[in-house]
Amino acid sequence: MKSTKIIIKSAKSKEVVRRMIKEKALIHEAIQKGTSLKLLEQHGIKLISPISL
Amino acid sequence: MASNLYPPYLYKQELDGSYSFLSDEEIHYTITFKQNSITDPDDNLSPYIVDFSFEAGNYNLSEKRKFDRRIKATIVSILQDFFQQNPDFAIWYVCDSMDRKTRGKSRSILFERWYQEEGKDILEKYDFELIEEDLDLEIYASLLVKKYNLLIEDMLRAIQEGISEQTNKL
Repeated sequence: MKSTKIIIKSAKSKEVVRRMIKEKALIHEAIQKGTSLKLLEQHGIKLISPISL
Repeated sequence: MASNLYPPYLYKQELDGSYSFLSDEEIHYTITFKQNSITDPDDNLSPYIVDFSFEAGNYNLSEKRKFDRRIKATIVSILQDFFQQNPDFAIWYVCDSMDRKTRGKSRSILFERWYQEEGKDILEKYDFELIEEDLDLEIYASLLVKKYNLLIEDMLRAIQEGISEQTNKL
């Protein structure tokens, strides 16, 4: 399995990673609590619907 | 391709935009797609890269669960539908390690196995390992695209420009 290793060093990179982790944690928390993911929009997280069922 | 012996569960779209299905063990799975959080939103390629995640909502991690092949079949089916309807797009998947540090790597290995079993003939997978020493974090992530996607080089550039300054091939 070939992988690209990225060392997070700059303040900008750290901020990007922290935001990614925070968004994932918020989604995780909402799913565990069973609350609507629509509420995440107040944190700037907007789900998209790329599949038409 | 998903085996007929293990057909995917029926999944539905929720009002909040997520997708969900219920397994035979009555575990509720939620699948989300959202705008990518790594790339610069002003980058032209950013809308083509979509964050994908799935997780079980109502189970205790300490409980033993039956191995259920239909879960893989369902996730694969959802991804097939995604690429059928969005052939130029890419999926960015971060292996969750919130419950335990080593979980991220084991999920990455599982995702690789699913890719080898179900996806390698039609998809390309690019793996990333993000290392954040201050937080003692190793984050495993992958970018999935359909084979022959003409945007792949630009997508990889957008991802790397979004986060990196020191990149090495492992």
